[in-house]
Parts: sequence; C-alpha cells; structure tokens
Amino acid sequence: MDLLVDGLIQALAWKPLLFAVLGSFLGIVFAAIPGLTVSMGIILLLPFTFHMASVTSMSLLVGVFVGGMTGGSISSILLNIPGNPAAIVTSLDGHPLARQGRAGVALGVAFFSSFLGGLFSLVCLITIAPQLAEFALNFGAPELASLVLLGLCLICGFAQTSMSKALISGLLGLSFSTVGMDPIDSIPRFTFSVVQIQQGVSFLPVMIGLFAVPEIISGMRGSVVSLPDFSTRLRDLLPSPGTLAGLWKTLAQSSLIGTTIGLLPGTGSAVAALLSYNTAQRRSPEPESFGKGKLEGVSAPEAANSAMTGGAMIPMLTLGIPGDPVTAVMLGALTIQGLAPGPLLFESHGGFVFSIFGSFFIALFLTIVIALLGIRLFVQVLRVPPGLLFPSIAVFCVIGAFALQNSFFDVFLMIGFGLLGYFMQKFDYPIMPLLLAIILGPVFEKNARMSLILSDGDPGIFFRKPISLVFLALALLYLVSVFLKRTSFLNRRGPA
Amino acid sequence: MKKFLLVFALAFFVAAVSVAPASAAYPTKPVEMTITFKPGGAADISGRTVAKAAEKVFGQPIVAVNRPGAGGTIGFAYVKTAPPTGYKIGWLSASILTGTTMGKLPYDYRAWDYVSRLVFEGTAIVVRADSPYKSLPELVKAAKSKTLKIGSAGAGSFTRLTASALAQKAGFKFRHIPLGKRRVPSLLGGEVDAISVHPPEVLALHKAGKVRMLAVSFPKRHPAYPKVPLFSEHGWDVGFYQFRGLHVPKGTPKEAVQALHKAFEVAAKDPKVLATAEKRGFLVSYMGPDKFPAFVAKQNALIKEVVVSLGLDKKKKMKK
Amino acid sequence: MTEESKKIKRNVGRLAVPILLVVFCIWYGSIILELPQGPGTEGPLGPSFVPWVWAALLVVLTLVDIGTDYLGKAQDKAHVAIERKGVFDALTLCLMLVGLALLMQYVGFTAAVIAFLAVSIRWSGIRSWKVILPYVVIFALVVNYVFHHILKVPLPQDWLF
Repeated sequence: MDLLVDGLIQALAWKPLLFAVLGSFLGIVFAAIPGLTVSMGIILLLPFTFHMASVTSMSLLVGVFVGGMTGGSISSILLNIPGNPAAIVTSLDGHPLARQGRAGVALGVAFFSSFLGGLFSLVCLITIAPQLAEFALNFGAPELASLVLLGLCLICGFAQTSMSKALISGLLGLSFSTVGMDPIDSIPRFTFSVVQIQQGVSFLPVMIGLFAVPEIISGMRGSVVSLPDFSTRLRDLLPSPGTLAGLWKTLAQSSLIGTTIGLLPGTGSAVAALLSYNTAQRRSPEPESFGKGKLEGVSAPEAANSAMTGGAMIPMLTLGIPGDPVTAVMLGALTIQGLAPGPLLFESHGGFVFSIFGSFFIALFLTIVIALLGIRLFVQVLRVPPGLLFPSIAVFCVIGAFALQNSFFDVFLMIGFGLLGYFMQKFDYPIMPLLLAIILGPVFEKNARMSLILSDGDPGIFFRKPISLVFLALALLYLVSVFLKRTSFLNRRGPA
Repeated sequence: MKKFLLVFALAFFVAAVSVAPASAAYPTKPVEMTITFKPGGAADISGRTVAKAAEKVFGQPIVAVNRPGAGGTIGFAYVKTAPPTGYKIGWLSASILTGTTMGKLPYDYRAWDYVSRLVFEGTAIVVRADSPYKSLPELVKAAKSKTLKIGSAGAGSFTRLTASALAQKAGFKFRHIPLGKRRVPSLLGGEVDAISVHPPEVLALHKAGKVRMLAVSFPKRHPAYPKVPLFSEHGWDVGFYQFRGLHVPKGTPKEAVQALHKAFEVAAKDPKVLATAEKRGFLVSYMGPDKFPAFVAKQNALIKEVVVSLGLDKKKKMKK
Repeated sequence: MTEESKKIKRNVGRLAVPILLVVFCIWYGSIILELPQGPGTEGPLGPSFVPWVWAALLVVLTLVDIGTDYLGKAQDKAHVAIERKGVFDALTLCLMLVGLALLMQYVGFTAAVIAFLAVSIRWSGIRSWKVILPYVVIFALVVNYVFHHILKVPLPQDWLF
C-alpha cells in the first residue's frame, strides 16, 4: 500500500502529471479524429520519450494508450467511423443511439464503461499480475487457434439482413488475410512478385478505408443526414446511477473478458470487444434489440477494450512479453530507459513499477475528465459544413494510413478497401465481418498450423487441451443456437 | 481577390526558390535513414542511438524513419530504389542476406553499396529453468538421441538459420517450430524444448532465473551476460552473426560514403552508444567502407550455404 | 423509367455481385494452384491449405447466397438499387485520393493537399473561392507543420516547405 501511495506521488509530480495530461489528451485526439489511430499516436510519440525521464515517458505513453481506448468511441458513436479496432463493435449500437438523438447518453456510458473497465484491469495489474501472467502461459497455439475460431464464428452475429451475406463478407476477409508472407513457411502468397505486397493486408489501413471512405463519399455528396442535436452539458452526459447500476453485469463480465484477452499475446482488442458484445447479447433478455441502439451494446465493448489495456501490460511488465502492438512499443520505450521488464523489475525497480500504476490511475481519471469536457469541442467540429469537413477527413485518412508504416502502399490499400466498403454497403453486405476476418484470419491460420506442427500432424491436440476444448464447444454451441433460431437457413434474417 | 491570388503565387515562388538546392558540399540537408523494423524493436533502438550520436559530427540531422514489414524486405527494397544521392540511407541487418538468398527480394546482396558495420547482436539458445539441459553440450547430446522441438522467430529468420547451422556443426536434427512473436511465451508455457532468440528478449527472464541461456552465438562474451559461453567455446562456431550497419543505394557518390563513414566511426565511440549497447545487450564493433563489403560477401556465402542446405532457396523459383 | 426496366435493373444488380464473387473465387483458386501444394516445409499443412479452405467455403456460401435470392423469398428491400450517381461519386473520390497520394510524391505534401482540397471541396458543393482558398492553404500548412515538423511523419516535402 505504501508503495502504491509512493507510486501515485511520483506520478503526481508536475512533470509526469503534465505529460499524463498531454498523453491522455493526445490519445483521445488521435482516436477521435477519423483516419488517425491510437497505434499511430504511440508510434509517433515513442521517439520523443527517448530523451525523457523514465517515469515521465511512461506517463505519456500510458496516457495515450488509455486515452485512445476511450476516445475511439467518440468518432464511432458520432460519425460511425471507429477510431480503433475495438471501437468498430461500439459503433454497432453507439451510432444508432446517436441517430435517435441519444448521443449524449451513449457517450457518457461509453466513457464510464471505459473508465470502470480500465480500473478493473488496473486492480488486477496491481494485485495479481504475476499469477495472471502464469495463467496466460497455459494458452498455447491450440488454445489460441480455438479462441480465434470462436471469434470468427461470432461474426454470424453481425448478420444484419442475410446470414449468407455476412458470412461471404467474412470469407472475403479471410481470403484477403492470406495475402503476403505465409506465417509458417515464409512463402510469399498472392504477391505477384511485388515486394510491397509481402507485408500482407495490414488491418489498420483497411479499417480506415472500409469505415471512413464510405462516410466521406456520402458526406461530400450531401447525402448524409446530420445527427439530431444533443446536449453536451455535463449534467446530460453523465449517466444516471440507475443506468450504470443496470449495466453492472455487462460491465463486470466485459471487464473480465477484456483483461483476460489482454493477457494473451497476439489476439488483440477486437477479440475482446467481440466476445464481450456477444456475451452481453446472449445474456440479455432481449437479444434482438442489439444493433439497434442498446446501451449494453456500447458499454460491453468499451469496458472490454479498456480492460484490455491493463491486461496487456501484465505479461509486458512481469515477463517482458508484449501483449499487443501498443505494449510492444512500450516495452521498447522501457528498455531504452535501461529498464528491462521481467520478473525482477518489481524487485529492482518496484518504485518505478508503482509509478506506472500511478500514471495509469491518473490517466484513467484525466481521460474521463478530458473526454467529458472535450466533447463540446468535438461537436463544434461536427458543425463545420460537410463540404469542408469531409474532404479534410479524407486528408487525415491518407496521413493516418501512411504514418503507420511510412508506406504509400498502405495508402493505396486504404483507398482500395474504401471503394470495396462503399460497394459492399450498397449491395447490403456488412463490412464488419470483412475487417474482423482480416484481423483474426492470420492469427487463426498461424496458430492452427503451428498446433499441428507441435502435435506432429495429430488434430487431436485441439480436443485434448481442456481450454481449447471449451472454446471449440462454445463455438459449436453458438453455431447450433444460431441455426436453430432460424427455421430455414435460406431466406431468414440473422439475429441482428 | 486577384491581389490575394497574386500574393499567394509570389509566396509560392519565393518559397520554391529559397529551398532550391545549393551546390555546396555534402551534406547540405537532412539525411533520411530507413529502419526496416518496427519502432521500439532492437534494430530501431540501436539505429536511432547511433544516428543521434553521428549527427554531431555529420553536421546535418539524420532522421530515422521506420519502414517495417515482411522481415525487413520492404525497407531494403525502399533503399534499393531510392535515388543514390547520399540523402537516403538505410540501417541494414543480416536479414538483408536471408531475404536475398531466400528470394524474398528479387536481387542479391550486391544491389546496395555498403558503408559501415556498427553493431553485432547475439543469438542465444535458451531453455526453461526447469529443463534438464544445463549446458549446450548436454542439449546437443540429448538432441542426438531424440528429436527436440526448437523454436525460432520464423522459417527464414536469422535465429532459425543460427539454430540450423549449429545443428549441422554439432551433428543433430531437430524439429523447427516457427513461433513468430509468441516465441518467449511458448518456451515458458512448455510448448517447445528450447528457442533460438536474440538475448535482449530473454535477458530479464534469464537474470530472474526463469530461463537459462545455454550458449550464445557472438564474437565475444558480452558484459550484460558474462557467464554465458559462446558457441565457439564449444567448438561449434557458426561463423555468421546478426550484424547491423549502414548501406546506401547503389551508385551513391564516394564523398557521401566517406562523410557518412567519418560521422559513424566517431559515433561508434560515443559513450551514450556504448552505454546503450551494454544495457541492450549488443556489441559495438566498427568496420569502415574499405572492409565492410568484403565482410558482407563472406557472411552472405556462409548464410547462403545454410539456406541452400535447408532447401529454403527453392522459393526463388516460384513466381507467386 | 418503366416498372419493367426497373425490374431488369434490379435483376442485373442481383446477378452482378454473385458473378463477381464467382470470378473472384476462380481467380483466387487459380493463384492457389500455383502455390506449393501438399505438406509444407515446416509442418503437415502447407501454404496452400488454409486458402483452399476459405475458397471452398466462399464458393459454398456464394451458391447459398444465389439460392436465397432466387429460390427463397428474399425481401426485395435487401437489394438497394445502386444508382449511377453513387458509383460515379465513389469512383471520383477514390481517384482523387489516388491522385493526392501520387501527386504528393512529386510536388510535396502541402501543394498536393492544397490541390486535392480545393478540387474536392468545390466538388462537394462549396463554390466560393473566398471560402475555399484560405481554408485549404491554412489547413495544409497547419497539418504539414503538425505532422511533419512536430510529429516527424516523413511526408514528402518538395518545393513549398
């Protein structure tokens, strides 16, 4: 406890505090501006931390991470353009809510869910980090393959009109995900001897293209219906205690899912958001109203993706294993400071570790305050005439796609998928399964094939491991329940 | 309105003229250094540290730009096609040799000009702390009687080639597991018997007694892990090491190469660089443009031998 | 437009996507054929296995999709008739974006953005140059300053900053 207080005091010194404010602010801004992403923010800010003190640099990066996970919901809800992969799920119910004039409530719930999810994961991080890190080591290749397969099955839940169209969209995504270097044999696939294609279809430029470009097209040609006005007064944004109390179950299970997924290297926030959304939907008394503007549908993915931040930091700090791309960058920042995260970090630099916890805690508070106050500013930006606003967003999309890997190939990828996304929407093929499949496809392929290498070609490995078996059973149960709900597979509407 | 436009046109013109290149000696403007791996990784950290130190002598900023993807090939291809003016340089690693010999890049290592080598990085064979193998000879002995699972960063990765070269020298066979990013958790979780990995990734775990570095392929013992023996001490020197240095597009002027050489030679002695090297577990070892190309050629021959013996070069023949 | 021609148009729209999907499947399959088949160098499943699975599932679902459209009683609402204007708009914007990305590499970021914004803002309905010019110039300069000079994104710079 003393250590915790010390850490908090260290993180509250003026310089770390200043950078925590800056970090949270920039995190929100990067996530909220369509086209820019949190990953991009972290990548761009990393070089600045090389010349900072260790506590200060971590305050900045943790601030961006936490701020970004919350800020992603803003453009998701108000513009239907998600700011990070996790927020694509948020837009499912968040944007319909905004269309109904309940944007304020949706934003308030999103911010508070993020805050509470983050707080939950921070508590896990402080209290049982080493134990959780040990637990996460039980997830080997077969477990991850089964988990991701479950995630892929949940795509059925995104069928808005026709199940086969959602699945086609998902399979298109899976096909695209095989482009580039084969994850096991390192053989270039579908690259047409072009070196740039070897890196494959990176999902962040695809996400920017798929979601932002169709909105830009409709926005520029005046076919976008402006959102109904909503009050941005603090009183109207803060969700009532009753609302939050009604959401406690969703919050609890989503935070748990988020933290757990965060622990597992290489799965990512999209799985966390998907699983928690689906869990909330299945446990809800009225699952059919999800996707039409349900607060649970906003709260679940937001709590989960925020909880993922703390979860991802657990293996990073205790074992030196990054849980996701953002913590991988943080690990780099720590090592350049001469601190080697690992089991000894807590003993040798215990004070420093607790100052990270302190910054995390402060960042959570700052983020919610900045988000609640900043929303007014953001709404002002939305009042800019669409003729000016949307072309400017297009420029941000180009920068956002470019700056992730400093590659023009990614810019063309973004534009290409933007066009695809526009036509898919026009022909009523949902785009979300496509993106989720592009994110999950490579993870699935890699771990499935790796499992078979480990087991010497015996597919039994997926069924002998208890954790893997549970995920496979859940996936099967889910598919069966989806098909049972529909008397005939042809000609039915999905559980939208 | 017309006046407004005129002022703008004028402003454009003035700006265009003022930044027109003056014909002074190289360097007259900032130099862009491509780093072929992600921000925060080993290549990024050593590259940025060295570039920062070289700037002082160089007289112009050396701006590090990450162009990651496909095991470094994206960045190497970028440097290959950049104009050979001396203003676009690259932070290369031995991956350039694996990339070209395996046919991921459609040209061989002679497609670039090599300026200087700055850094060596080790490759270690690592087991869990509860593993029965206490030393590399013990592991090799066991590997001769049963097939061990040894993981690496990927099928054509440098760590895999090192493990395979060791196996050839020591005379054992193993099952290779291309673990990718999950290499360390996979070892800790018990999926594989050992992994071949760059030491900084496991150094903290090694110090905490969670894993054991059996031996490292490196030119000499490193102060960050002085007790870990070298491959060569057991008589299994693989001969090639992960090195990093500078390269430039083919045909870059000699003056530019010399100016870069001078600046980076000084950087190699910079106390900050040496301090980072010790903390990050790499070794600073400078080699200038007079000897470096020959060194690269020699390393290429050694690496190519392993790649060919593993049949990895066959991919070259496949078009797609 | 007569009722009849509307119907024809809708049917064309219904056919276009499945045909495109089938073409995609064939093309995708033809490339998989050129990959090494059978077990891979590292493990029992080679590089072509997983693509085959996705391709096969895609073919099955495309058939199901065609089935839902023609055999079942799918609601016509599901087929939003695509107007020529929408196609034109989408293609124009994407071409302009491609133009921006290409132009940037020759004339630098700032100039390219000024050109792109000026054209696209006018295209999206704001006609007054008095509004457009100051906005695009200030926007381009500020964005270039923030991203290039502060955040060090290596956006191409040429004449003009």
